[in-house]
Amino acid sequence: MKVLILGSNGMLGPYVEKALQDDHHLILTDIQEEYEGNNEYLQLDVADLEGVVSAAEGVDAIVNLSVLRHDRKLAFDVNARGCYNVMKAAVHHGISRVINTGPHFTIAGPGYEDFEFNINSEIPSQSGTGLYAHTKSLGQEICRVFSENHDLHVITLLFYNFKESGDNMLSASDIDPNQFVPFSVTWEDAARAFPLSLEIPDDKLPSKCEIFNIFCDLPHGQFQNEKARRILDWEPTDNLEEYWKIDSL
Amino acid sequence: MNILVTNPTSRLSREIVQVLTVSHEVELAAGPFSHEESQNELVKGADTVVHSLQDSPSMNESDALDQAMRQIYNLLFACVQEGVSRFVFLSSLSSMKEYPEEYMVNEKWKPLPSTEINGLCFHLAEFVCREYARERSIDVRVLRLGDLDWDGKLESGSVLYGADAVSGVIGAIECDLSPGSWAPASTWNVFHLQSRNSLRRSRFSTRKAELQLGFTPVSIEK
Repeated sequence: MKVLILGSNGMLGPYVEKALQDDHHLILTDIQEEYEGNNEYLQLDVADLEGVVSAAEGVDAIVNLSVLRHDRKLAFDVNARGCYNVMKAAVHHGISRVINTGPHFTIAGPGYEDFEFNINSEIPSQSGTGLYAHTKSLGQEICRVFSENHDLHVITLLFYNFKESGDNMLSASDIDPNQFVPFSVTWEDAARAFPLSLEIPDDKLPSKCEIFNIFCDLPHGQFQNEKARRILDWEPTDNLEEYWKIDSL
Repeated sequence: MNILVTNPTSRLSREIVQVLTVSHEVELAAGPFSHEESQNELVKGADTVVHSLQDSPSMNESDALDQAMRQIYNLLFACVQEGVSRFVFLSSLSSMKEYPEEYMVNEKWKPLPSTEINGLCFHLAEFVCREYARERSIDVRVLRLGDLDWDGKLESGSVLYGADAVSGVIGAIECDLSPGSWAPASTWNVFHLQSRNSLRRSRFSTRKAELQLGFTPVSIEK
């Protein structure tokens, strides 16, 4: 499969690249000029509609990893309008699979997180007005509307906090369990959701727009990742118990 | 009451201002609405802001989306900071037109926006408004307007004559909404506004606007 990746130079990008490159032809893009790797690379601003449409020519799927959190103008340009540009490109070229990404509060904003437990990804979006969450939520809404009006499927993978695994893990003295977010996952486990999302057949998806919480198996009970296991067959390999189990601390 | 009305190139905005001026202090302001401090100065002292999207043929889709998402976010952000208590957004019934014509669609029905840029922009602007109403407790009233007709010539199943549009907006500005019997008045309220046509059944129920805003659409024989 020929896959266009937007925002590939971000923190998650290299892990996704590694997870996909053996089985897919990747076209990596990012706003940065520099890229150190062996795949095809283009400098591209996701807020540039014509540029995104042009870059998507001939690809089978688009993976949108682009994100900007703080500057109000750029956050809207990248997180919200960027999704519009991705979806326009998909419709223009007949691309039937888009993988979008965002933080957990794309859907479950403070109105859920500060009050609730057992939060799954099927809930109606309530991002709140925080800039990062709200702009990502608008982008997700754009994806949803396009999926309902065109012949394409959008899979959105929601993350919150990424952790190092294995040799790169923090030393025990650096780990503060009180700062641990019960929606955490290792970079490698997160990246393994991408090939599954690209390869799952349309008829295995309950609808044309599906959202999955991607975090490891945790006993906290605030969020649920059951849907990613059940539908994507995603299995986290690291439960990060060094952050929450007394014997490990 | 101090009222700020946006979109001076719109005939509806100008007509609203003309009526409001009789009994209120009114200012008409043009965008774009940035996130600079000047934005706060613009809304400072206003009790109510009446906002609509500028409809310009020269605006490309990126600019239209920016207006519908970022600029309305900026405006609401400033309103919250400056203590503006009411925000009236003039939206469109376009996102409700996907339902079959034989259905009587009111505000309880889920919007079904298409990806046509104007309709999508109204939907996304409502999305921004809704989160502000929910989280920041500003009283947001969304008026989904039918197809505006100023000269009685438009053939549409959801026509809204100019005079009805103006009276509906005035109602949304001036009416204090009553609490429900089991809950306080919500900070988020959507109203459908459409005129009556003696020859065609209305597609969209305006009952909520009639009861809560005193909306009384004229019936025109065509």
